[in-house]
Amino acid sequence: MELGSKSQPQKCDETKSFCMDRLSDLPNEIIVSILSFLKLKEAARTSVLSRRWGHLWKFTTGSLDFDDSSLQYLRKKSFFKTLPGIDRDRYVSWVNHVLQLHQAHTIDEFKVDFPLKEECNKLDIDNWILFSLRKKVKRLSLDFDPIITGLARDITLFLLKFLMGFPKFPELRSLKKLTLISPLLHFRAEASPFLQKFTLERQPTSIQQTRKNNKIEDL
Amino acid sequence: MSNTSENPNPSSSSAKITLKTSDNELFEVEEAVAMKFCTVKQYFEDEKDNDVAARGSSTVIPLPNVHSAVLARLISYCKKLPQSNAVADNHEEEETKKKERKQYGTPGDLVDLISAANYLDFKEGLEFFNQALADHIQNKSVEYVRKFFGIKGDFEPHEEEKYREEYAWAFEGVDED
Repeated sequence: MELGSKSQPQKCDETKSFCMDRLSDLPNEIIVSILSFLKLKEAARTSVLSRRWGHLWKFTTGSLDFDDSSLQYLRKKSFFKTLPGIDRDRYVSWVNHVLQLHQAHTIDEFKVDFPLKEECNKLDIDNWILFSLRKKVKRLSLDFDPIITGLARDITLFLLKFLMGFPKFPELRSLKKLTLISPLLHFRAEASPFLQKFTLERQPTSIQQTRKNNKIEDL
Repeated sequence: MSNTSENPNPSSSSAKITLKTSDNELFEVEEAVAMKFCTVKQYFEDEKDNDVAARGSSTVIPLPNVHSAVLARLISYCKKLPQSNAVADNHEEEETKKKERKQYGTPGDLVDLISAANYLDFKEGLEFFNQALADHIQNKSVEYVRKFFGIKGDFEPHEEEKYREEYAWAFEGVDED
């Protein structure tokens, strides 16, 4: 470390609490920017640090990654862990709860990864996509393994409609990467800021899948 | 009183700018480095407009909110990391970047660097040091973060419990140290 030859950093030779005051005294936007480098649950945990930190995590602009492993806690506590429906409901409520709390105008990433059911969750999923687009999401990743194929197709059509409508939808200008994953319909779509460069990359692993993909292509 | 920059390339013909820190140390830095600090740039350009600083390198720009030790670190950062803060796209690269970020000292040092970068309107550095600070919070328990940064919890126990219940999903799989 290259340091000024004579002087030492006096400020931090002081007690820890002095440094603390300085951390908590940083402006809101800086604390939020620090929190935006954290995972969703890490950021949310800072809410209990002190009153100062209470609501700041809701303004993070980083990744809203609804990581399945975060639900281990709930699963452990659940008396009905053998019933996937309970987990599913909890997962959906968790995502909806966070989306309701989230205050920032933008997010870098929105990622859901959980087995959901078409008849129960279609409206929720549509809402999540709309939420992401409104927040000018850059990377959108939906993994509903094992997804009901009809839902995957619906989501794809829904998104493609948006993408085709570009540039009428300025919120799509931010979307750089779109990932949809399911066993039957597995492809990765990369959307650049310009529709002309929009590409749909398929990763077929079965004949059945190819058929579905063709359907998409026929759009 | 003078603390000239440790420029290894004295033959460089590039213009120099002198910065004066809160503890009255003088730093002579290359213009290209100084211009990364928007606050300095603004000051420099205003001076130019006022035609006061036709002599260029002899201009002294005061930085009353920045300590010499912190400025030395910022300058050192500018020299070491001229490339952008592009997001690492694989795990290995991320680990390398994490190590780089670790070199910038204790959380207290980082808070100083963040404050200074913010005051100097040095966006690239601000992002870098914010991330370095975030590294210290990553995957840590609330108790650890409080202790590490000396944050005093001021919630009533029942209030904290309420938050912990509401955000139960956030409180599992955490290192305790």
